[in-house]
Amino acid sequence: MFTESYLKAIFDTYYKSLVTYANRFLSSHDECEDVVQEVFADLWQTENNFPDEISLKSYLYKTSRNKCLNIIKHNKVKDKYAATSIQQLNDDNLFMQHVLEEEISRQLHEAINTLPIRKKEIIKLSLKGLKNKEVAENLNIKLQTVKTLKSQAYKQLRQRFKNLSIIISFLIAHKMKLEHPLKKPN
Amino acid sequence: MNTIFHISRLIIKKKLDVLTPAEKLQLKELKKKYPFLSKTDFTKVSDTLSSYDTIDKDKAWKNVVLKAEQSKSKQKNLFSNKSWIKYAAIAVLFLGIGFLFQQGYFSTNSTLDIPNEFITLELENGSTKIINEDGTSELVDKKGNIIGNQKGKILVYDTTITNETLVYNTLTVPYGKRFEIQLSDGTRVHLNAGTSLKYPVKFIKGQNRQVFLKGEAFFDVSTDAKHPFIVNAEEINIRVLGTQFNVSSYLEDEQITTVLLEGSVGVYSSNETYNQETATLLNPGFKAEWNLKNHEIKVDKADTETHTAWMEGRLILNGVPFNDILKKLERQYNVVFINNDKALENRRFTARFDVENIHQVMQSFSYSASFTYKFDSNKIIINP
Repeated sequence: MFTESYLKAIFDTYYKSLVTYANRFLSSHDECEDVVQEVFADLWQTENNFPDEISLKSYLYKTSRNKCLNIIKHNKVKDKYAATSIQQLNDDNLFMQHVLEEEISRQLHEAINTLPIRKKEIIKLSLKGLKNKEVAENLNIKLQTVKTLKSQAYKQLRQRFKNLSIIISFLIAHKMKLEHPLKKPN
Repeated sequence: MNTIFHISRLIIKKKLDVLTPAEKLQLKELKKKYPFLSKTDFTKVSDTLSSYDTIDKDKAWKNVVLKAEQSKSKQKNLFSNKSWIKYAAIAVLFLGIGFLFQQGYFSTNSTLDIPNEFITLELENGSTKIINEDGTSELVDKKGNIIGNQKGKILVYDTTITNETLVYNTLTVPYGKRFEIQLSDGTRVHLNAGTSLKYPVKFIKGQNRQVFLKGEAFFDVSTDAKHPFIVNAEEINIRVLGTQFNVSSYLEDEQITTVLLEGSVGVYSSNETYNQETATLLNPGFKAEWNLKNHEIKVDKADTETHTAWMEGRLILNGVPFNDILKKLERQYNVVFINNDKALENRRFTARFDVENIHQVMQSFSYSASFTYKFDSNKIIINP
């Protein structure tokens, strides 16, 4: 069983990304939140033991996926997208691709959130693909300011991901690499 | 599936242009396995980031608490319903769980219990003093003079005391801890976990400054051309005038390694007296490895950061065999490994751990090397 404070910490870390994941299949935002809240409520009751956070994380994405699938299948309302959604939800490769995108968003969000407000805004706009000039217009600040703050912000982010990375590299020595694949298939 | 979480970080690092060469290679390999990696869509990512702002987490959490309570009361009703089928089902469930326990699927008593051991100082009269790393203390000789001060993780010897005879103290640092001392000549020594250093309370004028090391230490020797500083590390002596170097002489390792950062040092067998002609001289950026089996010395270029990262609690591994990594982790975290995955023993790993706790280290290590592990008091049991 999980303690409330631990579960809350996990919730704070993953809730938003699980909701946006569900939102790929369920169009109602409220329904998405509902699904993910249920996932956490169930988790609270579960006697499952997770050896580490990675397996817990996998579990969260997988149960969210299953719940979405159930909802779509049991939805009385005929949704013309339902068939494609079901197909997509059943595709393991697609599942991994989706989780990958959600995880990238989640980690970036976490990192960007540590930046001061102006830098945060600039990074968000530039991730959207806006040019420096457009960012400057958008935020009504000088182009030079955008350039300076942007480069500072990127520097901070770089530093963070450089340091945060638990494993920077784990390559098995060259010779061994040919004999064993990188990771045993599970 | 778990690989995906690792890849997500690699892709962010790629985007930020901070991939190491090894990671680049790894990502290239992974792209072959997962072709969709090349399609990562950052506009989708930025859309997701914007939609995060519309989610009210606090409200959501309240709902979770509510939902959890509701389903709890539902479960109670289930148990009060006397239907034998349910009991049978529960019995089967228990049998199943029992089986899983037997198979070691659940690591129930899987908590790590690291014993707290103390840093100790053996004084001239043979008595032992415990050093409290969070406190301060004064060191007094048998005449009642203050000879040193300890503040937290550093012990500083008085430079003004005068002694006619050599009097030794021995500092011992257990596994899982580090400590620093400043000797009476101003030389600073960082001691790694599982290390002891014997040194005079005061060096005598006109004599070599000699200390005795078991384990690993980094020396920053204060310059004094008249009084060579000699570190005795088991089978070898290292002689310097004033410089920075790291010596690792753990008994469980196969060699004693001296790495020089600055200045110059001479390495020679402790059975001999120093001779400039026969001693092995090191230049900065080089290391000397004394093989404890064949008593031969080998000089090679060294990546100094790898050898000194321990001072900041970091661990850098460059193609290190698995077994040697376990030894390092045992010392750094005061744990004991039992490795049941023999296939791992000879594999070499390259990794970098920046001030992580043992849980984080095991998590990432097990993930990359594909093994499972569980804790049993201070033991970590590794299974394939």
